[in-house]
Amino acid sequence: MSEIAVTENNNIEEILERDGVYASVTNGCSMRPLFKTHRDMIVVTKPTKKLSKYDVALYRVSGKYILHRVIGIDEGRGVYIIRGDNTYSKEYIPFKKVIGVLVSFNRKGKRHDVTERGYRIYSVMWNAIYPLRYLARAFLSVPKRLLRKIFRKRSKET
Amino acid sequence: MKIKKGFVLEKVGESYLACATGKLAREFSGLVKLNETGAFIWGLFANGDITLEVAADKMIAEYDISREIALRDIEAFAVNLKKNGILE
Repeated sequence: MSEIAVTENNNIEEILERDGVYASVTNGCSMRPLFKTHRDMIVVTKPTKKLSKYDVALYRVSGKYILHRVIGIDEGRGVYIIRGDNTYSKEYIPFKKVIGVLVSFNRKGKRHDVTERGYRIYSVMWNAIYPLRYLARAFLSVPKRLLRKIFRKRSKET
Repeated sequence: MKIKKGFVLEKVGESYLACATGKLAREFSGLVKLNETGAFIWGLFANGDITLEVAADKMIAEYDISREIALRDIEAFAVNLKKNGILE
């Protein structure tokens, strides 16, 4: 009748190999505004074909699992060009290093599939406005840096 | 008996997966895998604080099984939930 199995999330490769699917709560801020730490749940499957632009790939770098978006594919070098929705540098991940691909997620308590129109529009638009986001971040970082400097000086004086 | 607030259950293919979100994610980091019947019982315990007897009644109505089988199944399920710190 009913079946329940509780596994630890330590080795995602092992879970994907065994079950073909893996789910976890989100952790980190590199995929904001889509995902927020501990708020959302992601469902990842083992890739059965090469990923496409805007797919979200799961891979491991220096022992740490990372879930970022494919923004390009370099066939010649055999790498995905990847960037988190809230990061500002590119990563070059070899095709074979990708262990999973996002298929669905639960955001703010609502289930979404990556094939949904709204989600696809977000993926394309968010990447398209990257230059604007980059400039806005650079512009906003100036007053932030100034404030930090002022307060550091004041705390040294006191 | 009630499942702690913060668990999210998703149907993935033929099975169901649950994990803890929010503050609960700090104390529960595991992944729960359920079959359809498991997900049905999970839903009963997630939607409100109910007794094993009431859960068994709902299971009998859903699956047309004997009371003995329903109670045995739910008890075993509840023990598993408790052992893994999923119940309140």
